[in-house]
Amino acid sequence: MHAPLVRTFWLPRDGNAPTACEDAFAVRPGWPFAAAVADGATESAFSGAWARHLVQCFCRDLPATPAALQQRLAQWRAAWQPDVPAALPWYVAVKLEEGAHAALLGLVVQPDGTWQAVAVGDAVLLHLRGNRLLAAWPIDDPDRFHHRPTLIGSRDDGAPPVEGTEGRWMPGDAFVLATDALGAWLLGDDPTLPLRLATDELARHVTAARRRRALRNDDVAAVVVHCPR
Amino acid sequence: MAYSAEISRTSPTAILFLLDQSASMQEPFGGAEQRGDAAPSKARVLADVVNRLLQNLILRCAKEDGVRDYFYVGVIGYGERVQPLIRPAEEYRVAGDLVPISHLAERPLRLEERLKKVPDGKGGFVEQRVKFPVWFDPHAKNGTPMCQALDLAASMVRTWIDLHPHSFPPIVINITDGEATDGDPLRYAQQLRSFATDDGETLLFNVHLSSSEEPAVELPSSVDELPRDEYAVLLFQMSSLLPFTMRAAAEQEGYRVTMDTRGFVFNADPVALVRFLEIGTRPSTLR
Repeated sequence: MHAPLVRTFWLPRDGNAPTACEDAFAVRPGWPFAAAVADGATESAFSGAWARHLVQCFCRDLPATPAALQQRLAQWRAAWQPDVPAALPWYVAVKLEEGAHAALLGLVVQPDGTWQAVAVGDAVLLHLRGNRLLAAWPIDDPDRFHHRPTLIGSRDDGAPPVEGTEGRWMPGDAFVLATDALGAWLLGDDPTLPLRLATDELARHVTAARRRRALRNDDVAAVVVHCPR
Repeated sequence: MAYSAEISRTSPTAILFLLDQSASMQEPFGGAEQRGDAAPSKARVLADVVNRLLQNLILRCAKEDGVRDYFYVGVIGYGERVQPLIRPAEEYRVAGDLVPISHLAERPLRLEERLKKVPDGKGGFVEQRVKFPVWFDPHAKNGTPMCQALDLAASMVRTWIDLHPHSFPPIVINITDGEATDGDPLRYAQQLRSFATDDGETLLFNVHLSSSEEPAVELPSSVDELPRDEYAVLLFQMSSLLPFTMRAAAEQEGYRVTMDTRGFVFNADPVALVRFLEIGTRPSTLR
């Protein structure tokens, strides 16, 4: 059986350069298949790099349950060193002390028809069958997104609350992993858009939705996973 | 919806501080742990408050590669004179006499070392040395020309609005012991608040530093919650209602808010007021 096929999508917030995008994604092709998205917090420094580190670690270690993710976090934190300039302005020193923060959503799809997901924060997993949304997780209501989510900190000693879920997939099912602004918009509008639109068309829709303020102007990232038929 | 304009580098907003530097600010602050002569002066507390507000604003905008100019800042002192205490360099004159926040971040008067309590990871706290930037020192002389200060603020706000008609409206934070000596500040406050962008009227928040030892009050919704103090009542009446977006942020932080909640604090820490301005995702673990 073929492993899932993927399509990825990202766009920095309007007015920002692509290099300033603090959303990240990673994919582990083959079986078990894995994909992850992470969203670096606007209000912490080095959060884009932290988000990239988290998705890469997830796709390497595949911690598919909350307990497994909690267990890995100390190791992931210890292995991360931000690229710090030699002369630190006072405000960067404070931000470095506070650490970087990001939301993380990871999905593992097994060839036996099962899947598992873990999440910290407000990135969203959509499970689609045909042209229908089966489930959205961990948030299924576009009004429940806010600006103060619980995130994974690079310096925090404590364990963030990790949520976990699992289910079965059918041939032809699709999953969309989306960071918060995109996830909220898809839930409120049409969750099947990422399946139906080519990447450049989706980018045009996102830009237009931002202009009419239906989609918050934030970095967006998504991984679309097509399960084999 | 009003007060929903994005605050970003391409769409910044203005924050203007009005600092009471009158002679009465030499009197002891009633909200301190120490009492009587041991209490710090209101002028000392004011300097601390404004330095911490600026530090917090800057940290909210700071990234690894510098400070993003989400805010343009002005500071007016009123006491012996009514004057802007920071002046923009020539290249920033387009901002209407306000200074981009990155400019302030790079130029504190000095960096002091202070002790800060930080969690030790075992449920307790340890003291850690941290650098504390200082832009303003205590200053207290002559009367309290608050009306003139509000008038100057209004003219600076109008210039900003002419240049940024679609932005989140300017925010004016007046820090005072409340006793205007040049007229009725309520009228000037109403005039200042009437200047508006497409997104809403100018917001005026008041921070009352009093010698009274009555309990602190944060974000009251009615005069009944205030101490019996004529200046507290006046400053409450001068203050804007918290807009919806800020009310929602306040609620998330555990404040009790209603439709009538105003941006006013009495002998309390006003840093929350600038935290309620939304500029992007903020980790729930950060205060």
